Amino acid sequence: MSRRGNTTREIDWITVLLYLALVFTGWLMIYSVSYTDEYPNALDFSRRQGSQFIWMIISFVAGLFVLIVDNKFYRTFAYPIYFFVMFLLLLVLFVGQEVAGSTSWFKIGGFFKFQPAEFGKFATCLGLANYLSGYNVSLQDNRSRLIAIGIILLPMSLILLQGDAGSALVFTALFIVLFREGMPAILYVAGGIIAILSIVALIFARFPILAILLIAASFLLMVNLKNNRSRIFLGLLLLSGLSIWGLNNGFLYQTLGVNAVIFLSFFILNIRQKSSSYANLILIGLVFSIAYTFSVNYGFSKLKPHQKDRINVWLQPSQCDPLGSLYNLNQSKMAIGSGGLWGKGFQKGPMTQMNYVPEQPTDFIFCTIGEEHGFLGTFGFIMLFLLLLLRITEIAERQRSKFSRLYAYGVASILFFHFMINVGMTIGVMPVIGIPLPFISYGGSSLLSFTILLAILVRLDNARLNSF
Amino acid sequence: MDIKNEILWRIYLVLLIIIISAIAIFVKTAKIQIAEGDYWKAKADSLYLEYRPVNAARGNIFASNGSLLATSLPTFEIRMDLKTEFLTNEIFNENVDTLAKSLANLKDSPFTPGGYKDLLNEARKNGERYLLIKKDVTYPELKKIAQFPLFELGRFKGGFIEIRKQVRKRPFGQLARRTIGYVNSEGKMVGLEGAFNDVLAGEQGKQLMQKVSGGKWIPVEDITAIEPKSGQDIKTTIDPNIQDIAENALKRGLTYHNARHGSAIIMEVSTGKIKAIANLGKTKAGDYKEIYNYAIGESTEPGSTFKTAAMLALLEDGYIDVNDTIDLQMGRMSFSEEEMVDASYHALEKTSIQKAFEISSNVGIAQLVVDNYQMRKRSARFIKRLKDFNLHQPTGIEISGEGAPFIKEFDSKSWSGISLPWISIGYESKLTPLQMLTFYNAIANKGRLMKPYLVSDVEEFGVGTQHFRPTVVKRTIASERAIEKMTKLLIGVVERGTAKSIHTHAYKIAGKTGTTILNYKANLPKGYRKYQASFVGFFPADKPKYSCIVVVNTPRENGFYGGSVSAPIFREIADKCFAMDVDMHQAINKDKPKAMIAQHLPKVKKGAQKDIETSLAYLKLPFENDSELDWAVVSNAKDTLQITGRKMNSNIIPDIRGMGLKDALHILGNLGLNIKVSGFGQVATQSILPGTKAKGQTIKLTLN
Repeated sequence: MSRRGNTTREIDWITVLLYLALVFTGWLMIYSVSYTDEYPNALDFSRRQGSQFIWMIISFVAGLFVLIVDNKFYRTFAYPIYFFVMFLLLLVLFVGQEVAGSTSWFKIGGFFKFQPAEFGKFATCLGLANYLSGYNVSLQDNRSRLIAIGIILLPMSLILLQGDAGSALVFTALFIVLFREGMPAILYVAGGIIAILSIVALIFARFPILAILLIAASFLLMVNLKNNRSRIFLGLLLLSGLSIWGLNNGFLYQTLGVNAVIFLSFFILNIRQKSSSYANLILIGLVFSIAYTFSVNYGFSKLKPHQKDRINVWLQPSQCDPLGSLYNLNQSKMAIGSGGLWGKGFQKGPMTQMNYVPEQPTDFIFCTIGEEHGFLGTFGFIMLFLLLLLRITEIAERQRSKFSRLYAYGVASILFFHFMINVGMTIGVMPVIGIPLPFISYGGSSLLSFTILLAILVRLDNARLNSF
Repeated sequence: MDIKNEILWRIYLVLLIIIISAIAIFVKTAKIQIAEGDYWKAKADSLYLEYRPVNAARGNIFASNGSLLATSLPTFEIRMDLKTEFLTNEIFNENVDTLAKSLANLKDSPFTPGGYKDLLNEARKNGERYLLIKKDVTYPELKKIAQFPLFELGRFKGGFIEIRKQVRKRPFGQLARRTIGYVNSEGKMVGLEGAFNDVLAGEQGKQLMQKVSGGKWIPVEDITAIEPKSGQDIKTTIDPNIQDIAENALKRGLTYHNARHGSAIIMEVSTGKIKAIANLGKTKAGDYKEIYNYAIGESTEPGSTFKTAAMLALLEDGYIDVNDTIDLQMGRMSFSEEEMVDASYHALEKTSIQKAFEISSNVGIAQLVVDNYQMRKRSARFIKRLKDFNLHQPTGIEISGEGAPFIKEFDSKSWSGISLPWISIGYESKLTPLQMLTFYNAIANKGRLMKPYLVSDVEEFGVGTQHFRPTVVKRTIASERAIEKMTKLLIGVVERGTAKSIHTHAYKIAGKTGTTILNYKANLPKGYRKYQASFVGFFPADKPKYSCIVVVNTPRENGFYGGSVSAPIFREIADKCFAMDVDMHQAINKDKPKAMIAQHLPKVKKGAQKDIETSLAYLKLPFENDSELDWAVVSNAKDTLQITGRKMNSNIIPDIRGMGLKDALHILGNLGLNIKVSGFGQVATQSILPGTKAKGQTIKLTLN
């Protein structure tokens, strides 16, 4: 084959255009937020819009550079890059600059600073992809599984040590890659159940939790019954309704008693029809669940106050102080909501311009889109991002090299996680985790690292034709 | 499940999760923005409503004659809220054309009607809430614009927003700028603006305002708004004409002598009103501007002008008389081994005290003071005298920054054997020009010390709310006798002494020159010395109306003595004040008329007998009248004017040549003639001969 695969014709222009569209959107939003009558200049380098513009240029140059480098470089140097970044993550713990409680910034000179955690993202993607595409590595055996998980957990724990829980959480997104590569689904189910249990534990008080778990266990036992299933199902629905009523009206013990009796009767029915092992499994599951939910509340009490606040705001907004912990979310919703269908127009959103929303240009940049461009703007933006994500998955699946595919999934997972959490938190469907909106948020490290992340993918995709 | 299917469902699951998440976010944003949009919007709007202070219109500063020295011109900025709730599309579309046309018809409008229409439509589309229509609109213009279609509907329906702004203007520009005051670069108000800020500023009002993008606040119509209370006006004692004279004279003098800075103050003797106060300092650009209030703020060693105080003390204590003799020792004398030299060389030895004062002999004055106070161990008495003259007290002028006066105490540590002689000739003390002038003003005012002041009234809408009367600080600073002698000495200075260059016969000036060496402590040779030249005095000396001081700091060219630098400035100011002020002049008819001979008597036109008589009586010209007829001619008798009666016939045209036109018209009109007139002056020719019967002819008169 003589095709080299590095001509511009074979670059995935759709991705590049989507990328450019997002970056310019982001810059316009930052300009809009920072615009005042005193500083009307779009390229005023003393203002955010100008500084972001410089970072855009730097990112474009870096992206171009990534595209020029031979594609084999990324695979060959995947581990060195990974370990170098891990080294930086370790180093920053000792010589880093403390900003707002986390030691995650290198300060070089008086002006330039960068956050190695941002670069941990593409480094880990490379490392993970390289490992999983290696010979004799299969997610069917435990050793490979553990090492793969270890590759993800190493940067996570280093970043957690820096005190930047938000950035650490981003790496959990890479479990999507493992899932795609055949990690047993049962682990994800178990993880999902644990997550649901945690949420239940945090939302409800003790008695409702017990009632819910008993009813849920009853449902599971019911599924295994051979006769009258539909009638029993209806009966259980009725029981659920009754339990809610009972709990709301103070009949706590009575409700629990009834639920326990029902559970026991189903348990006996199961044993009678000779499915005692299933029944025992459910019973053990129930006991563990109860134990777990009770321990969740203990664990929760050990969190830092602002982390507790954020979880409370997410799960129990009605019980939060509107002027206290709920204030930021309310301001954010107010900004987005007041945009209405059409928005207030470019540079005409008073809430975003006058700092009514916290962290406006960085974490809450989505508010600007919502306020100034309304539902049409947010819809357009979500579509743009969704298109990019789908495009990346498409790219992933068309790769012939396993390394490239794994890397592509890594990119998709990380971008997806950022997008979900960031947009989700501004509208209250996700807890507030301070991570930037890729390509949009103000910040040089973030823009540069996401650009490199995506550019490597484009480079790998560009070279797919000669990697038989 | 084969591997392919296994992989496929995993891929689909991943895609599903991505899409479902996106949809979840999408649904939630739709809920917030569309379903709950109005709720959040109302909540957001309430965030940026606030009561904000509104500045009141600042009061004016008037001159004594009522001219404006500083005023706040209201200018307005017209803005338009195109998204106000009640401005419906219907109303907007109906009016936008006419509004655009009206706006385009305004003076200096930047757009055509079409341009304005586009602008308004575009802004409407964008939901502009604060569209700039026009800046710097005057009040009459505002009234007109407020009547434009759409705008006439007001703030809510028509989106019409007027923002009141104030521009402080000084109609006379630089004139007395520093004394009138302004906001200086540090945001501090100086001069009268600062001193009377409480009165001028009025009371702030409150207005409900809404914050819109760009950080601007726009007013929202609100009945609970508290109207600002306009500031009151102040009326100053400053006479802009005299101020103008003083500034021009000072500027000319400073420029001619290339001086660093200078000041001139003119005070009304009887009241202490400051009629003018000029302060000019050389700027980096080389011209002179009101930079600092030297007259009030700068205290320096006064120099020879202070000798008047020493002399007055001696006279008041009765130790000397002006005609006593004194030995000037040819202008050189040592006091405690410190040699004192007269400013210019002279060879006088025994001479009168009057002469010594007139030539401003340091040796003479110092010797008198030393002999009469120090030698007799009563130096403290001399200092007490100075305090009697109130020289140790600040004047208490209204504006801030007055320099503190300094008179050395006899029992102070720094007092030495040579203190007294040096104090007596104006060193080792510090006074501002205004403080020195206040002292001389007291001499002019026969010993009564007036407090100088700048503001005479506070007014509200032209009605006085507060009147400041002249304040007597001290009923008398010295006996009438001493003051009289002092005045004579001061007149002598101008008539024969150091200021004789400004002597005039038109009116009498009393005053004293002063030349201070500013850096005498450095003991520099003559060429390196820095001088302060001053002249202070009053005029007309026999009936003082104004006192005036001129101080010039560091003159560098064309002389440096008070007599040659400051005195001419004083004279220029005094001359013009004198020329302008009728009260100071002697009336022409004040004295008895002198006997006149015929050739000096004026030629008098023929005319109405009564008029002639009245005029001649008023002018006190000698005349005799033996006629009681209406008309008369006047002839010159030997030393008097003879009025002779003239009979007019009711239907015969008389000889009207030599009459004024008024009289001629009267007579000819009564005869029923048509009159045609050409030229100016008195009647030279008449077209119909005298003696002709009048029957309604047309008569042509030539005047010459």
